[in-house]
Amino acid sequence: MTGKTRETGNDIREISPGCYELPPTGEMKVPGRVFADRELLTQASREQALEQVRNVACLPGIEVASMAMPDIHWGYGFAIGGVAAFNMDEGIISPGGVGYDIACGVRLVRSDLHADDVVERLPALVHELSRSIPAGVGRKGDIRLDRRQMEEMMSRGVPWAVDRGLGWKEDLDRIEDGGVMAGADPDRVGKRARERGFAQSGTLGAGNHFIELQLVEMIFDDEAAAAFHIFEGQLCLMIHSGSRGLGHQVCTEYVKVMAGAAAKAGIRLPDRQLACAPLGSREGEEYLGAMACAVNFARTNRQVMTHLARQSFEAIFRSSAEALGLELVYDVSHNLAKFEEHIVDGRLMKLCVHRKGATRAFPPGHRDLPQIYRKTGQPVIVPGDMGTASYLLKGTETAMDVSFGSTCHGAGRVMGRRAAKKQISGHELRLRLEADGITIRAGRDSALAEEAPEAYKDIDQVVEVCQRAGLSSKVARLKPLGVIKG
Amino acid sequence: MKKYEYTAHTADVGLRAFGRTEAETFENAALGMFNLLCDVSAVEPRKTLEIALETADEEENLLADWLNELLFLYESRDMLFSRFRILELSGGKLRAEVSGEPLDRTRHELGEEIKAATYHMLRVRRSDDGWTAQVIFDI
Repeated sequence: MTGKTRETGNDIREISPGCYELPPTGEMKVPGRVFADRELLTQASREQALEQVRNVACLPGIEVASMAMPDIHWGYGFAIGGVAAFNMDEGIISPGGVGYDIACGVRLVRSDLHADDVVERLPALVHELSRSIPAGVGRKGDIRLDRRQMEEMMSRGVPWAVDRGLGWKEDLDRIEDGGVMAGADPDRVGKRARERGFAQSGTLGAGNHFIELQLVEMIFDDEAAAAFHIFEGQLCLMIHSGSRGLGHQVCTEYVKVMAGAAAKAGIRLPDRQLACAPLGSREGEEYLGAMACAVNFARTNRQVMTHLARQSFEAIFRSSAEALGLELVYDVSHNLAKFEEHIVDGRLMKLCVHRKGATRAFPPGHRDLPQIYRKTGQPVIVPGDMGTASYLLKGTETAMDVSFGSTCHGAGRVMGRRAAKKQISGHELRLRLEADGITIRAGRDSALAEEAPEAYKDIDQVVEVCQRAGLSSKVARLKPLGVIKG
Repeated sequence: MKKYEYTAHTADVGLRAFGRTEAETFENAALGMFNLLCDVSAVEPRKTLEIALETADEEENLLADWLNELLFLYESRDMLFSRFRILELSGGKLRAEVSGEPLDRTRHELGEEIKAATYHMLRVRRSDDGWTAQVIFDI
């Protein structure tokens, strides 16, 4: 890592609408490609994000380009918003390219309720949700699993939870991979990762994680909205959470293992955080076995929280979750590495696609999509900041051609956490959001300030750039009504 | 002498720690990290634990290992720490004593949730008047 940030100079050019190419220099094996507009690109070039895109392009076996979605910002190792696909012959798997919060992701639950009809009861619902779902730093859940149960959960994922009455059979179709990532090997999850994750099952966590009640404010695509059972004026619930301490510890441990593996394989690392191992190597296989466990843990967590949320709705509306129509729309993971088939230079190839702060966005007809969405394309859920909006999008054919079937994952930060805390008063922000009709439950006002709308890019702009570049297509815009933060 | 300062990073938080010796710099980095997690002044050093770490590669990486070890103890044991004493730091080995107390929500207000100390831009350097260490946390 040179530590230098290059300005967007003449070497960067727009090769197609909304796609900027960074030509290969130095040890880059492929170009970098950033999906952005001028403003977003300039924001990214002010920090080290573009340097990070270039660094990833130096890794062995990378195909086509080291990419970044429009919500790109400076991360550690990979840029946030990064997408990189590696071939099976020379390619690698990198825990840093997945991130510490393995399978951090978002799910959207719809309802039959019109927000207007229930507006008086929303504060009570927010209160009930915050009471029943453990949120905040270091919060523990009510679920305590013994060793065997923990292993079953890590191996079987959400179907395990559904078998225990923590969800509906219909939920499974509406989660990537049917809620269970294959290849999970609990023996690869160390004692320490289990200890760290033990008490956190079914908990929200802190940072940018949240539960929101949202109003479907605008529909852009009537047909897709109907397929996703979404209508204007509808009350929905969004959950953003990850694999908690278990995933964090798995990543921490395997970044160390991979540093050794990279050295053994003669891979030169531009940044130690990019530590990786060849696909098919022992270290690579072990990480993939552990990663799948963390993925199953993360998705099960979101499932458990969904179950608790359904119970909260039942308590407030005195009706069953089924009668309230509380169906899962979809659950996406935006920190993940997956084996997928893509066409490269006219050839169908199996690739290991890393998405670090990017969302899979498969097109209509893709065989990995469940029947219910096969015709429409994959629902893509993009959380925005708590004062503005979130989006429901759908996957496109273009994304398969240009971004390995990927699009953005959120608004992307523009302001550091400490800067936000200095510039924004959490208390004033709370008052401002409440004046906008948003009910807030947050552990600390300072935590609110860190997540203030001003700390993020403009979600409308990010989604618009994705639309223009063809990475995804807008279905609906959702506005927050109630926010629960750790 | 300033013990540590926080540095700007878009998504996360950076920390720069200072010390007359490398060991003192490591101690100050731990203090800086725990001040992100909680208000360290409210943490009584009632219980002491020993830590021993070893690395086969660059010694600099011991800084991330040391901070990640403390994060693991905090999250798995519910222990907050306020005193850090490095007993040995050489040849890729670190031995330390850390003191603190179990988390008590009536007295301890928690701040950030830290996922990990990363290796991105990790530095431990000798400077003119001592040592400087730099680390970026994933928040």
